[in-house]
Amino acid sequence: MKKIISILLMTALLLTMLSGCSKPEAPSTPEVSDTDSTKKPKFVFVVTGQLGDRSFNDSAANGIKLITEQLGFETNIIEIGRDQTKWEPTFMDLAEGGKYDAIITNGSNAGELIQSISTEFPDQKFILFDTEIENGQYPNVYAISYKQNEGSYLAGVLAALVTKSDMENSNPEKKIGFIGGEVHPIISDFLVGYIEGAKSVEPDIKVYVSYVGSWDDIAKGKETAIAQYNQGVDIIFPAAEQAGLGCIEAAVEMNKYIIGVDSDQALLFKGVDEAKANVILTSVLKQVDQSLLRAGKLHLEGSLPYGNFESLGIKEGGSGIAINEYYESNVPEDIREEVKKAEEKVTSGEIKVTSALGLENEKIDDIINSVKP
Amino acid sequence: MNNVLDLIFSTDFLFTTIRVMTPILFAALACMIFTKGGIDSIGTEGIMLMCSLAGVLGSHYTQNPFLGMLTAVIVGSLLACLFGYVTLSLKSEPVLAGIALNTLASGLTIFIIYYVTGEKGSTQSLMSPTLPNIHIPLLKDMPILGSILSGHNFITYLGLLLTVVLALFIYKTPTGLRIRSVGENPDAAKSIGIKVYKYKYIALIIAGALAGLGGSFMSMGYVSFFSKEMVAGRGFIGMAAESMGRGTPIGVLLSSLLFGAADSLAIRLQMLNLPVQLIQTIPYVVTIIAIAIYSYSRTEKKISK
Repeated sequence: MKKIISILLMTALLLTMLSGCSKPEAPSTPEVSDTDSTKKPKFVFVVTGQLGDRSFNDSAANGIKLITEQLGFETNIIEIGRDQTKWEPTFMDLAEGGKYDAIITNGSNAGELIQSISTEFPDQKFILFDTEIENGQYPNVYAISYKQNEGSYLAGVLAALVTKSDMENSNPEKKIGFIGGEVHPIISDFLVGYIEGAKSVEPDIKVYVSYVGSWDDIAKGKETAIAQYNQGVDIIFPAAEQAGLGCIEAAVEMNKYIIGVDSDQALLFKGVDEAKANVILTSVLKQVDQSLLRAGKLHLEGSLPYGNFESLGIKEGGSGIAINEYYESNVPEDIREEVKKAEEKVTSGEIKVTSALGLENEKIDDIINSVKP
Repeated sequence: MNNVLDLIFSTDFLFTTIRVMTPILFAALACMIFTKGGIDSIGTEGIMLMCSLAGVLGSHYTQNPFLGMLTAVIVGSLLACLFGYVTLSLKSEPVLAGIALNTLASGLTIFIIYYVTGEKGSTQSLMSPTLPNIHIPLLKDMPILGSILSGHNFITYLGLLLTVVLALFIYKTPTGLRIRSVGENPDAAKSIGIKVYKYKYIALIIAGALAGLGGSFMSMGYVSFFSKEMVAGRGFIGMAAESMGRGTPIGVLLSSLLFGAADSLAIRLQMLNLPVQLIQTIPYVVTIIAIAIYSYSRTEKKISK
């Protein structure tokens, strides 16, 4: 009896481990003969976390899919979970195996690790997204960073226009909200762009800034959003990963607006929960998928600048806001026009959005304090 | 300063405090019963997480939130019994078994939602009915009190009711006495003919059910879906609340309320011009101060004796 139960427990434990590193997707172009001179490159995407976040990792996975479909690369996805102790051995194994032309991973999580590994494996190429590296320091690493401040600038413009408007769920008070997961340089970059955009429309705007203190605690995310809405805020931009889902629920309950983040969140709720889809006026996008596809193309041409990082903004298709059916039906036309004008100004370089990356903390605080309620 | 007072002394603040308190109260009550039965309570977090998911799935498949809640209660009891079997009958180290249970919960819940929905983040694509908010007749029309005490979730009221019921159960019934005796001194209990395992398992079932209710509040009351790691340490805060309340139902209720107040205060103070890092320490500072005051008053009493 004891034996049976202990076997059952072991099986359960194994199952759990499997969920963390579920089956890698089968290579999509099998049987490439060795004699084939036009051998397709092989890419592997190592997920430092899990797929299914409906956001960052999923967007990257979509990029891998696009690379397979459009460029015909052999690709693979490996999920290694959030346990950081497992990361280094996995990357070492992959680099040592030398099976892949490039190893792709999320640089905001594993950036430093990859930089230290890359010097040990000079022949292995690495592609990092969502991070910057010192140019020239790591000749086999290419990094992509996103100008999230540009997409957020447009979100700020939209939020300020909405709070000023006579839209159904907006009040006369000129207050908008921002909720971050934790204090983090990337989150500050979102925030700085958002504030700058809002101020460009309404110099006297008040921006409530709160942090959940966690990326997973949806209940606290909801609580934080409710507290802001109770202060007279009518639109919130949460950049808090999973915890942001709680903010969306608060918006539905209180009949307010929200701006999604990282992926087109309104479309994710389409057909599943229309009430949620309708409060998400737009989403600030980090187009990880497009940026990886671009990297794949450049890799094929041999012109991908390994050793450097590139910062992709609205112009390069790395950042922006989601234009979907909900945006078009829920946001009045005059507001959409204004947002479009702002977008053109950013693309043409007429407006340069401040970035929090590399900015001193005091300067960031000054920006936040300038709109403090 | 007026701003601060407005934020704190508002009916909305007190209402929020009760809502934030609810999952902590259930976790703390579960820990209380575990501890009374002499069982380690470190697995509460994992049980709550599993039950959050069990509640949503039960509610989705039956389309009845109360059956969902019942599913969570049953799953909670079974998990607690599993923990009991491993630690009592197989004699494994309770802390290790508890950590294993918590790790199992965070992995297995993701595995199950992936299996059911094809996603690994949340169960938002499942339509699961939630437990209703209750507006108490008469009370809801009273000024101030009405807007603080009425309109909470069904489970919140259940929690308050259960606190009273558990107090009576532990101190006024023979079963409660026996649970306490097997917890405090199993050998002595055995010597007078009490079946130690029987009462330990009764304690496990009750504690598991309480953790299950706490879990189902998270996914069926607080928000309307399950999301990975959504319990986010409330099981552990419950452990702290239990020891701060010194294992008495009223103490547990008050310390849970204190944690709830500290948490919702932290959320509100962010609206003012104060550094975030400082504000986020409030719940922890409150805990340290409360425990310090309590310990001090106890040592004072001992000295005066």
